[in-house]
Amino acid sequence: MPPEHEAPWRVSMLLRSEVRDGAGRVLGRIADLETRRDPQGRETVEAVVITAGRWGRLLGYERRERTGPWLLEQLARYVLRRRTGRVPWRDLPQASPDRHEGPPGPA
Amino acid sequence: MKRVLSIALGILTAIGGFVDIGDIVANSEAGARFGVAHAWVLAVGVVGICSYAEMSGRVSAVSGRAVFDLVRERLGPRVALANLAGSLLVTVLTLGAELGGVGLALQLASSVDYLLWVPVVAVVLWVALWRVKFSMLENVFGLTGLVLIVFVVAFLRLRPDTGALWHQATDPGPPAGEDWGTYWFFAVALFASALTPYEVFFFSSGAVEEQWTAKDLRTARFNVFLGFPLGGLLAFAIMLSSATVFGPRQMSVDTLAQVAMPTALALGKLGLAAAILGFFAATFGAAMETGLSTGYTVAQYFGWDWGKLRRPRDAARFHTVLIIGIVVGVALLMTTIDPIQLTEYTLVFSAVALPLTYLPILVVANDRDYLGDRVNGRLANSVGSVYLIVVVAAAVAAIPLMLITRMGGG
Amino acid sequence: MLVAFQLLDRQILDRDGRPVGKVDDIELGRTEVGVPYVAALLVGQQALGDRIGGALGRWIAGVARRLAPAPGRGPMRIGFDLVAGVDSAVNLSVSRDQLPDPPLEAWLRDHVIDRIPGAGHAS
Repeated sequence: MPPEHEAPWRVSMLLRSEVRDGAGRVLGRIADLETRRDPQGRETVEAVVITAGRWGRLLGYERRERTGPWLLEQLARYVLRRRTGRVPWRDLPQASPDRHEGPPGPA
Repeated sequence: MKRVLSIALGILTAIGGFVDIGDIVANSEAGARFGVAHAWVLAVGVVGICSYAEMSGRVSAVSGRAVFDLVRERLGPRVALANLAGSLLVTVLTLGAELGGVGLALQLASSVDYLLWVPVVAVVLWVALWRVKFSMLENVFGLTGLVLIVFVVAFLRLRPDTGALWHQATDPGPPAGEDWGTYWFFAVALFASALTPYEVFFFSSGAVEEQWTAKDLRTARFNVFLGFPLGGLLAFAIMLSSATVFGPRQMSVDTLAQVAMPTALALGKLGLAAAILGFFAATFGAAMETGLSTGYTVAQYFGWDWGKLRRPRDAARFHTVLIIGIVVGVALLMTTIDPIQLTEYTLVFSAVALPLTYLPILVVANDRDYLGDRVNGRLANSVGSVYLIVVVAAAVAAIPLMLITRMGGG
Repeated sequence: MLVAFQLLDRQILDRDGRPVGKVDDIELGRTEVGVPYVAALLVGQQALGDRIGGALGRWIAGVARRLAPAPGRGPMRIGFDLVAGVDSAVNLSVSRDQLPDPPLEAWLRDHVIDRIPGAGHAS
């Protein structure tokens, strides 16, 4: 997240940025942000949803309820199953404070 | 009476989908060259559009969202922008062709060249979209378009060889003188014309204009299951009568006058007049449908206020897009490009855009946040999934077929 | 809540159901402990162009910036506290009149549409 004097960040800057594990390997790209309401009523980020594939857009099949026609569910599962992950926000160390213009690449 | 009139939206959408100027000529040409060997394509097309129009209508009635909202939401702004660009191209080209079609119908009636009619028609179209109530436009043009039933009457009067026709319909394939490539080209073109995206854009936006809610689902279904089969029937009637008259004579069809010939032969001047009236209403209806769809899709992509429902000054961007669309359509025609040829190209290109439009509809029709309990049941999902595959196949095959057969010229 | 799936690219409706625009992007704020939270919805072609990126996106955002009444102000910003609920659309608790007029709409209304007779009648 940027230091206070920079322009506020947008979700589009986080989406599609890479997430790496401790060894520096790329786990995937951020496809979505999971939020929860905090005591002050703000939707705070709890976790990021990452996909390894190139199709960063989730059609909605990763949600728990069974939805959708069988065909698309199977397709989505095949494409997304081993390829989606959930990384809690607290496991992502702070991006280093020195400059970035673009996506942070939390690593 | 009100119940009858409330299916006008479905009928009008179906007319724009099945008997616009491109379809009128394509069905007639298919009938002349292949007899009714493409009857199954029309049937397949009718089932497909019924399935997707029902889903779109349900989504719009229950959630108030029209189809292009869903396209951007599910596919993202970049892919949706590409879809928008493609859809706009097809829709505006078709709008131009329909304006030409109206001009051709008026030329048949008056012997005044169609190009002179086009600017007049464009102005009348714009005034209709600016001031005339949506429901009145639906009723007048939808119901008048049904006059094309005259082709059924003409067919019956011509005392055709039904045995031979039945044989053709059930044993599909090219007759002597035609090859499989051209056969499939026509099949893909007729299928694509039955499922053109602007039909679902128009139908779902019309559902919102009509302010349908969850209580109107039965009306929505009536509209779909009565309107689209009727549209398919009209297209089929044109194909049938063309097969009866031109088939044995081994003629090919490329002008509106030729399309009308069976009615003139069977029913004389009255039949011809009815055919011309039907052409006029159907092409004008299609012009309205494509004109409004240009506005609907752009406004729904960007999230602007839209619709005839609003005062024009409250939906300025929507109305500006409408005006620009009509102007571009007219300009296109003024290049003296043949409107009928124009639709044949746009049919092929619209086939390519089909999957990007239909996938979001199928996905959202299963979303409980949108539809609550009214999500797709197993039948709707099975039919929808099968057609998604067919649509992808058509999209992939369209351009190669066009190139190989040189637009069906063979 | 899944922010990208449930908020991004959804239609925003005001208290009366009138369209306000799409959620073209979302502004994130930072809590005291540094956790990001949803601060505001960003609406308009400036935000959309920035998000689409590339030459096309820059052009869209550029045109929008030129049309904006005060260049440099940035896209229309709707604080997340004004959101009443999210279902198939994002529903606000305020009326559209309390939000700034989109510049393109205002310009076209004043210079084109209002000049045509009958612009005040719905049909």
